[in-house]
Amino acid sequence: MIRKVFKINRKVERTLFILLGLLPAFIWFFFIMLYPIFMTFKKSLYDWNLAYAIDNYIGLQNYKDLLTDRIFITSLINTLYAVIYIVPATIIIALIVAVLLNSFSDRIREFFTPIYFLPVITSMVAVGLVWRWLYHPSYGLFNYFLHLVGLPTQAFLMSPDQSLPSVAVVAVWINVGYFAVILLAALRGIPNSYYEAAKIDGANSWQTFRHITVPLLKPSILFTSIMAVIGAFKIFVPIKIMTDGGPGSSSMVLVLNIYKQGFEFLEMGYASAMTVVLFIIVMIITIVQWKFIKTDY
Amino acid sequence: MGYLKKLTFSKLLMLMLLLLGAIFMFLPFFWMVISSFKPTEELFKMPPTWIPKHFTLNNFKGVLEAMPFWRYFFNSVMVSSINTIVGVFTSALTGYIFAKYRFKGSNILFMVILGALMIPFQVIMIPLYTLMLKLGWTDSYYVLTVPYFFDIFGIFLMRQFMLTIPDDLIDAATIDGCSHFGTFFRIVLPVVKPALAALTIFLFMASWNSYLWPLITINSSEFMTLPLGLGQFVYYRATQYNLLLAASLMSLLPIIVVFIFAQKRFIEGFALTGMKG
Repeated sequence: MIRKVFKINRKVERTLFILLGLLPAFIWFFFIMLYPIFMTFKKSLYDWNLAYAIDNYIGLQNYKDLLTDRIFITSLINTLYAVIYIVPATIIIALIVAVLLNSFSDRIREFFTPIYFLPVITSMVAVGLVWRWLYHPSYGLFNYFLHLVGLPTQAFLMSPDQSLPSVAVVAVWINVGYFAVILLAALRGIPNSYYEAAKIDGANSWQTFRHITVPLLKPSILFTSIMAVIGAFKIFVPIKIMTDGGPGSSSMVLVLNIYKQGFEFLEMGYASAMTVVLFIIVMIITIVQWKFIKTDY
Repeated sequence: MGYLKKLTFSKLLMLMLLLLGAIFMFLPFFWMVISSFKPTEELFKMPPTWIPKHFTLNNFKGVLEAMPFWRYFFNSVMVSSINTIVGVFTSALTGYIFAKYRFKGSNILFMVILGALMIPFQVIMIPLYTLMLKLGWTDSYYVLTVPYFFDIFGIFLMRQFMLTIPDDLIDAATIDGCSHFGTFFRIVLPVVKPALAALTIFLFMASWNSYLWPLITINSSEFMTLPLGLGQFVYYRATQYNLLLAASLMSLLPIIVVFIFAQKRFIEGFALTGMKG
């Protein structure tokens, strides 16, 4: 009898535990994620402006407008350029840094790793300001270096041609340590016996790298690449701080455009339609990721 | 000496490359520190001086006069701490339930959460902002904390770690008469301590450096965090680099100090979250 009561109590307690554990999570999840996602899709079909209190259903008009919106198309192209500038550079440099770090003793590795990693933990707002000063057309350190080697002054962030690549350099700088650390962890996971076997077979260091390190690192490289691609598609803070999309709209990117439409012009319906475009892009990348990397959850 | 002999030419070249890269990585920080101790006239000078000729602390004084730095700092510390403590706890609890309990619909629920993992914050920010507006939460601590109380990635990460806990351990606790709550607090949490530490660093940094969400929801400087306050500062003093650089240094210093003392944990934590993601 007592045993039975105890058992029932345990069952009740189990249910209570699950319920108490998950209920707050689902209330949060519903209001903070599910409902907003649904609303983003719904409101992308509305002419919705907070400033003028307009909220009318207009079907696909927002999407039609996007097709002829020069700034939107520019922002989309610029975002693609940002991905092209940032991702390969980040991954290749991170891989080089990881291999270099891995080829030295613990002491040297432990000395250099934090230096490469330091930007990762810093606020993009603060370091963005510092980079703006480094890029300064008249008093910046980079232009001073160019003078030293006899090259002409560059406008960097003030130049329509250079603004986006200049910001991309900062994006690479801030993230390279993060990816290097992930790749370094993967490198250190490769059993030493593989390298010893290669050595016995008479492979030189390039052959070892090419035929042992790279294939074994492939999943990590792919994973970091996709993370970098998604990150680059969502680039916002460095651009907001360093150029605010300028000069003109030479460094206008998708998320900055969404921010400006939604929170400066308060055209929230139109901004929602842009957000849906961003969502679709990220979704496609994620599906591709699932196709490439089969992780078992 | 023996060590030096082993240092072949190619190794030396690699070391030089590593050093060169490290100098480039560190240069912005170095230049920020040097520049923020220079008086304005010296700052706007070509060629620049590598060491301040007229060392000054006026820029820092100027920052403290021009912006409520300590208020921003207090807000950042408080908001990030609350978000981290709550976020780590909820991630662990939710992750544990998803890892170790089977009940009706548990798989479907987890799939829904997994699906949400790929949704960028930007996709929800507009309706979330209007929801906060309706609740009257904009320009308050609510808007800076409640949306951070759960973290989808944190739940996923903790579930992965909880899966590695042997069922026998949990069963043994149950047989000993430990309640489900008791098992979670006394048995499970201590076992996953390394994962908790990693998630703590990850969530704290995410909250500490958060910029876009505070930017759209906070207007009064009473509730501004460091990144947001600094961002506003840029907006109004775009060309006063002496103040901007000093303010950057002041806002970076706390986290850099913490990093110096706990850099191994930071790096391991980030590597862990990266690999499991």
